[in-house]
Amino acid sequence: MDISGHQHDLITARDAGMVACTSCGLVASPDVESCPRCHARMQSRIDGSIQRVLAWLLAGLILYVPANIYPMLRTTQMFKEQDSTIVGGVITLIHHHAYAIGAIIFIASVLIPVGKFIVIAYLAVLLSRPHTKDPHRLHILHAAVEFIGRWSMIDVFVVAILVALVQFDVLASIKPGLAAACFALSVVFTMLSAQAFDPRLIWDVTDKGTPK
Amino acid sequence: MIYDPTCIACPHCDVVYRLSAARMVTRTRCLRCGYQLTLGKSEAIARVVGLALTSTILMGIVLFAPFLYLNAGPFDSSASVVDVVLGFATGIMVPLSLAVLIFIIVVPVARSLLLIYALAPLLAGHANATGAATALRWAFVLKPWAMAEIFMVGVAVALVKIGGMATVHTGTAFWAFVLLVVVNTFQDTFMCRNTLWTSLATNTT
Amino acid sequence: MSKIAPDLSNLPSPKLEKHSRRPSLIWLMPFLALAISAGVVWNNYASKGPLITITFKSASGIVAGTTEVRIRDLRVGVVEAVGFSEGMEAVEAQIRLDKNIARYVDTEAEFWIVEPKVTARGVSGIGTLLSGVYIAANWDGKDGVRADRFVALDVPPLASFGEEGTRIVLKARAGGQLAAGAPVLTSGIEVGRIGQPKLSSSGTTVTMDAFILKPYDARLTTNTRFWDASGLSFNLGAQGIALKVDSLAALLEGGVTFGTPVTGGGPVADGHVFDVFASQSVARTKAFEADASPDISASILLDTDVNGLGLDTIVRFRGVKVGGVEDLVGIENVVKGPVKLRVDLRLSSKRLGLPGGLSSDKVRALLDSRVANGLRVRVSAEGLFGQTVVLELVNLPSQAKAEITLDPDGRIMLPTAPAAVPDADTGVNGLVTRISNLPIEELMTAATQALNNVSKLTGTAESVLTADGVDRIPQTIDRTLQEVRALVTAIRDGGAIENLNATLRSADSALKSVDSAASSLPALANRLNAAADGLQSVVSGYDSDSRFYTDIRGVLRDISSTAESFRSLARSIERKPNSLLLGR
Repeated sequence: MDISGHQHDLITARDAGMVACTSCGLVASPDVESCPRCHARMQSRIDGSIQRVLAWLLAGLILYVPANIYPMLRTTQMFKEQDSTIVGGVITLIHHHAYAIGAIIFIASVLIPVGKFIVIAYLAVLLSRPHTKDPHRLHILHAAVEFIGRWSMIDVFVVAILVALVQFDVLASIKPGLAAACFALSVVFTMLSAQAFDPRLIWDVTDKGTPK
Repeated sequence: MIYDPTCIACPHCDVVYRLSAARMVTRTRCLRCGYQLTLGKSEAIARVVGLALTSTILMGIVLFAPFLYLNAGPFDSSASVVDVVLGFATGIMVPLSLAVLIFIIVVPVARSLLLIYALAPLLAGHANATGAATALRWAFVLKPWAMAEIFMVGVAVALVKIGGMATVHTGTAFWAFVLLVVVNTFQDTFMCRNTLWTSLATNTT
Repeated sequence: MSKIAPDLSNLPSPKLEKHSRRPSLIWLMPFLALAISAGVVWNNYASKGPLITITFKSASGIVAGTTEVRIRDLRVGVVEAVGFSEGMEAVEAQIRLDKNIARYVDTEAEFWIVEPKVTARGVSGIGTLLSGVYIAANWDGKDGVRADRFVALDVPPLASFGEEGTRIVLKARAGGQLAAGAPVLTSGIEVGRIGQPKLSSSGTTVTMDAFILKPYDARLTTNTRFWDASGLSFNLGAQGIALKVDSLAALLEGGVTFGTPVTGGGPVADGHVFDVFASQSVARTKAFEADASPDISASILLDTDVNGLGLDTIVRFRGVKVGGVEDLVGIENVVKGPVKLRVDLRLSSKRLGLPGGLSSDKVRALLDSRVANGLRVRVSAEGLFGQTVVLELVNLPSQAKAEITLDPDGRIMLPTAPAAVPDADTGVNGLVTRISNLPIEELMTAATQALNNVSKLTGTAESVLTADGVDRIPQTIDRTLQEVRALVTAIRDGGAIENLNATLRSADSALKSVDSAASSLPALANRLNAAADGLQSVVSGYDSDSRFYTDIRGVLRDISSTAESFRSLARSIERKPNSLLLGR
């Protein structure tokens, strides 16, 4: 059953005893390991993808903790230092009535990463064994996670720009905090985690919903 | 037979189709999941190469023109993209600096150059360049890692944050960067895997 | 689904979408991008102004890429690079000027660094503490000879752009206190400033430019005299003591004041040279004698050396200075006798009333006739205590006939008269003489005799004489007068100028007691009264309304208000760290 509800006689490469290249769409016999067209590695279903997903996810999760504890920015104004963490920065922004920016930062640096952790973990657990959920929904979830993951880097770039611009010696200067590095790494790891998924696993389910 | 060149599989849901050569000129989609399978051959290539070229030129402006000017009372400060990158370049922050440099500059430029390298010979009617396939593959692989547009949003947020304290002017590089983001996005819509790969594969001139 | 070998011959086609054909406009994009890049690059280079090089003594905070060049506080250029000059002797800065004003940079352009400075005249350039130093520039809006290498000034130029006035040159004796930027005052107000003093090659004079602002430069005439207004001036003269301080800046930095004591001078053009005299009185005397250049040489022969006669002794005629002593030479008497002193004089013919430009024969003849009429030279004294020796030319017709002689070297020798007793009309000296000349003893004797006669007559003389006080009057007077005499002698002999106030006060009270004791001597009493009043007025301190006080008060006020504003700034920063940038 496809999106529009039509029945087709659709056949997967695996069912056809073939293997497909995820990079260029080439269909080849299953003993082919390297795509003759694009030289990518050809695997019917990527080995150990779930493991890799979980590994990267864990790394990202671990790094998310110091990213929130340590300050993202250190502002020095006339010898007074002020540290601001991710959440602290959001609160300050709201305090200053910059609601829109506060919302953007909050979404990009808190909601999205946390959301990603949850969704990826869910997908990983779900796909590690045959499942019965609606593949369309899962597909959307996966696409969303893959797409949105990179947007968490907003905060890191904001820090980078502020540090570059506000360098006025004694009057005001901004320096990056440890959390910036930790958060950037966390985002990178979760991106890798989302990419490590083999989305074809989602669709390994019968039309009638029984696992293959 | 190792592979059937007229077959095409949907990378998302694994369904196999047969795509005749005649069909290659138009856009096709997977019946099950709607994923776009092909774009249309020469147009796609022309677009991709053209936009990749534009992207590279714009990146040149971005690198060498001033990005932002800050004016707070008696203070003047200006930052180019390189300044933004170097802002982190001390001690533990070096990885961060590298990360910013890679995501904003290196990856987009690399993608553009790879695409030009792989596909320009096709346009010009020459044989494939050595390693064109690998180049094209890497261009696809690097796509999620090109974060130019995210940088733009970050700039917007930073401007709003500072805008309350000081006056900020945008430099030439800023607008070049905006254009760059737009061009890249546009370019990505034409990057039809099947078309590009089959074009590359069937380039026997 | 069964696991039979799938039939690949019947694969469906993917969904087709209509695709409109249009020419690939895509190639416009890279073309546009190239055009934009080229435009940006060309714009960058075309709008670049010229590069100039300025040499500085020290880099004092110049930062390549940041330090600006400003005219009237508006940015006109930026420093591109800073480095050493050849041989590391100075610092050179390459500066990129804005294109639109760069064409006016000619050889007359001036550059100097503006940095924080604290001087007696106030604090300047504080803004540069926060924003960094900048290079100030000055050039006019007219095209001139183009130049691209400059040497920066050490101090800001005298006249800022747009300030109108007159530039003059001042010459002063080396050793004065004048510093660059010191004020030029007149009638107590600041009307200009002096530039960097330069020592002459001989090391004896100092020359400096000075700039007098409009409209005060109209007060300058060729007869204007400048004098040093630095520090305090302490004057002890016939009028008494005067302590003057012109202004705080003048006190600390030095300054010059000018005034025009003599009318009739002509207008002053740029570059006119004025001398700076040591004090107002010197300036005034010099003003009056400016016309009188000494042009007659004459000499006198003195039998004895006079204490106080020296090379700075002046010659007066009827109270006006007519010349001075040029040399003192000891002459050995051919016949055995004491060594005589020949004093060589230089006199001004104009002041003597002689027509100028005469030959020496004519001069001799004229002087001869004067001498025949009684003109003599004699030693005299002037000053409150008669301490200044002067040579006087006086007409003394009663003198024995004399005439001008020529000594073996051809010098005109003027006849001398005996030394003069100083005029007893002025001065304590006169007072003492006068007092000592009073026929007090005679008066006393006469008074006593009169009283004796009275007592003989009345028979109650005893009782009168022995009545309280009457007895003691003559002795009191006598004793007081002796005290006064002793005091004044002590002053004269000991030169106790430091205790002058106290001395005068006691002299004052001494005179008062004389006054009260000798109230029966009306004429003398009035004289003494007048003297006492004069002395008293002089003893008071300097005027508390003087500019000096006003200046000090002003500075204290500035300091306290600055301290206050710093305090409030610190407080506001503490409360809102963003306030500095927000400006609130």
